[in-house]
Amino acid sequence: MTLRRPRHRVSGVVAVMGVLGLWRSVLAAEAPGGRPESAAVPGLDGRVPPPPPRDLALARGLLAPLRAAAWLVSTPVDAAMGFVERHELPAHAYELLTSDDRLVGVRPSVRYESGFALAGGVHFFDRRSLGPGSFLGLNLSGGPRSFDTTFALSPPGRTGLRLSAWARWQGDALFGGLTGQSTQALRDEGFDLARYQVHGRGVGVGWRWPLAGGLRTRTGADLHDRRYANGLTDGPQQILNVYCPPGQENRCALGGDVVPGFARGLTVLQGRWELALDTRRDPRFGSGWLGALEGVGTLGVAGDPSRHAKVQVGFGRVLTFGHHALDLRVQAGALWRLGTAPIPFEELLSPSGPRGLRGLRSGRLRGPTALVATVQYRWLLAPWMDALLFVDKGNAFRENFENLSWAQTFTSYGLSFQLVERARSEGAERNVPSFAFTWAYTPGEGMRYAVVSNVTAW
Amino acid sequence: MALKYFLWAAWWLGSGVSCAPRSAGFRPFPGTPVIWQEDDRGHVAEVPVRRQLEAQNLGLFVRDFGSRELQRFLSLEQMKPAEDVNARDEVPCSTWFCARHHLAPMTTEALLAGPPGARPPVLPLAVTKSKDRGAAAGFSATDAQGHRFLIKLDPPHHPGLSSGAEIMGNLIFYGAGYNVAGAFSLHVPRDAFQLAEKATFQLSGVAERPFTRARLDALLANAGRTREGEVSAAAIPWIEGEVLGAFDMMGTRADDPNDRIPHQHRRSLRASRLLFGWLNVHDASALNTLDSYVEEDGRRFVRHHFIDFGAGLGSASWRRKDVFEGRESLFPLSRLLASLLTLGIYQRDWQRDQAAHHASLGQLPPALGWFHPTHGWDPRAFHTNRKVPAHLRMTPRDGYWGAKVITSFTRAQLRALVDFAYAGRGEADAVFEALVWRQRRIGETYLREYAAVEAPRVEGSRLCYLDIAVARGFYPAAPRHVFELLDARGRLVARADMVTSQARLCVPLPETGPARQAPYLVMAIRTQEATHTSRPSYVHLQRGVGGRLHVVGLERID
Repeated sequence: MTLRRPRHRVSGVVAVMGVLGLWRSVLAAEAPGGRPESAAVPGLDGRVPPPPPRDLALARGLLAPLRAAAWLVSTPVDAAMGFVERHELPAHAYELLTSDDRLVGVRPSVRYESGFALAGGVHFFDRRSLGPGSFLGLNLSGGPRSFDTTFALSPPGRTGLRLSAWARWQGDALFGGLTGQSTQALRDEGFDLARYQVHGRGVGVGWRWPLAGGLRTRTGADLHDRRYANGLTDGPQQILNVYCPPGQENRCALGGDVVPGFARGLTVLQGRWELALDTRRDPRFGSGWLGALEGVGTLGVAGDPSRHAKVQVGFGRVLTFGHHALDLRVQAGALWRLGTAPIPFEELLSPSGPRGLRGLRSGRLRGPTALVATVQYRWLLAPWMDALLFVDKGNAFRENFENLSWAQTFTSYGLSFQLVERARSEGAERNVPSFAFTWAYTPGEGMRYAVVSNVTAW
Repeated sequence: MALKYFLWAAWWLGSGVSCAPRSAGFRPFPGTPVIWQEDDRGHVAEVPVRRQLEAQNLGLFVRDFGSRELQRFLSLEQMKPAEDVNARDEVPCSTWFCARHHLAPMTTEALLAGPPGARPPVLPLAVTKSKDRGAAAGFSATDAQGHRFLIKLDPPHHPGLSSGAEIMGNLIFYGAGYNVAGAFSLHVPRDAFQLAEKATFQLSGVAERPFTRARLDALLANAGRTREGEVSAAAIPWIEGEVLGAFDMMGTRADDPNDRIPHQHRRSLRASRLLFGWLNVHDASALNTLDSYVEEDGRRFVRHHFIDFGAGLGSASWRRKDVFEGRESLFPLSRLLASLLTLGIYQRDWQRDQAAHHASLGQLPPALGWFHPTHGWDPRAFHTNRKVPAHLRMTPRDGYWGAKVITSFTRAQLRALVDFAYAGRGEADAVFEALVWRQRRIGETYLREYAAVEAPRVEGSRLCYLDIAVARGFYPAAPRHVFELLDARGRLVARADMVTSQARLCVPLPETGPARQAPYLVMAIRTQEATHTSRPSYVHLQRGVGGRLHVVGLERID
């Protein structure tokens, strides 16, 4: 006796549905919702309707399989959506998960992560318990390659103060060298792109407040503790296989210069201050200047010898003409060792990812200095969506931009579709970019596509 | 690759074969009495099921933009004449539509009175339930005489914006012949609203909670106020009968045996596109319709209504209109692709008005919103934000009929309606001018499409009719009227023409020759001016008792 495979049954159902759809498509003289012509019954003008024209019968017959396929696809979608909305399932779910005053609730969250693996979770919020203007939030999300728990607290009164604590794990973080090497250059050195795991936890306090003229500032202090291990990816790209392969322990230098900080981990206290400028009145199609200046001081604690300082500056100009915007931006950053210990690899600047070279994944490039220039052209596709064509150029470099040269830089070319959220109230009639689908290509490094939320200036 | 050739072949066969000439000759009218009443008020013993189509916001959007459009495209659907049309090219009275002003002109007072039974509320109002659907905030309330109303509040800082549009929409649609609830302007102090015992509201539309005074106060505090500090709102009388939810703009209702004509083939629904365009109601769709199960003369049946005109004129219900609303659907696929492929060089006309729209913030009168531009408005370019299957199937004949309905409102009547809706506010002038301009554009675009032959009849040995395009001033110079008498097979029997600015025209019917013997004749009438020739209207004539010709039908062919 053999077991019948379930897919045979599925195929049978699909076949029957296909035949039904085909039959329906051939017979129907028009799109669904129409009815067969009734030849005998006079219309309201007293005349018998003419027979349906046969001149398109052949063409319709040829298109019948496509119609049947469309029917097969759309029918379950329409039915499912109809069921969900008829029974008001989203409203019931919303109601179940939210207090009557809307100040306390739980929301499901879905997050895209690398390799198109989804991470799901919940987000709990409470804007009531600590008083008006306060916030208590807890995020719990996880997927096959990540886990994230974040707790945040803001006292009442809109002070701009926020306390937070977090514990995170990422199973497939990317490491691609310490000085912005290309993949080929890494291989020439006997290395390769590598995957590692990072377990992190920390606490922080932050304070942000707006200033006049489009200026805002933010300051804060965080305590970070991170530990690293081999990446989850099977195969040769695990970091220990690349940088500390069995039998070649003599080149194993994960704690030293090759991958500094990997073996020991990281326990540091960081103080930060940021000043940002955005003079655009309309974040979608408003001309203006953009700027950012950030300083971070890092001090190792609990035996961690790290001691370094980081400065990042960004400068941009957005020129708009109607529903077109030309966006020119330059970002640069540098790290300086303040002690003798090497700078841990995760503390290095990483100019790749959604806020740098978009054709390369986050963490792909690292270095003590970084420079990225971006030219992007954005135009309106629909009131709720823009298209962007962009070119990003830059890289991470050695200390003091030692190896900075045109030849050392990567170039990302890309196209992005950006959804726009419209504020409903007239007093704040602003269109805020909210979500983007991006395709980007970097010569020598391949194609990358990404879904990025919360697209902001800097 | 195979798919490409397959599609190419289908297209070629479709387009090539469809160019074949149609068979000559006319479909004769039987000469039976003209049907002025559609038989759709048969007794329906069982209450039809309440379908919650109005709750299917996203589902209907996906269906109307996606699967239905795809099927329409793949089925090579052709233009099809409307089915709710009688032998005078008119829409008979039905549970959907009953011709009013354009066939039997109403007095201004009758137009202002609105639907029979609709009376303004008598204060105070007892609030019973909050309004759970739609963009506008509001609640249902019972007046001092026990009549139920839906109260729709105006948006903050815009008294009269939404209520003015609501009232205008109801009055115009009622005068045109549609079933509507009616609407009244409400300017009342906050304490005119009391909370009824056991008043409730639906949290998120699903969870019933007590409606508290604090909640009502919060709602009223956020409403538009007049200069005197009164709450500005529209009061909409409750529709009689048992509410069955929205009707679909496509197909029929399976549990209503009276519903025999697919909705997309109802001229009254197809041509409503022009009325919505005239009034700039950009959110017209199945979501803003309502079926009710009513009882009349001992029979119970379903009546079909249009509701919610609050997003008309310059209003978008809870705010003023954005510059693209009414000029582009929510998913303009072809424009989106054009913009993508040309890197944004392709521009829609509304994009050029964006700066003016921004500049007008705070400049325009609060109740006017964005009802602009008046000049240059093209009725063919009007778009509801959703695809409406019935609107998509509007033929030129349906458009002609819609324009006929719209242009039947005189300037004086429009002025009275606007003054009533805007209660004499300054915005009334701008709304009136815009409506008159749009009405004119609709007439120029659609009424002149065909020879505007109406009420044809044989008087002695002459065929007489009224040219409403001339009568309503759409031919400034005297046009040439071309008459061709054809036999039933379409062969020319006689020809004549005349140049006149008269609207009431008579053309002699030949007394001799082949026409004398023919039992069935068709008079094809065209109107010409220097740059424009209308499509013909065909008056069908049948020889009756004593050999006299009489009109048996009026036909316009798409």
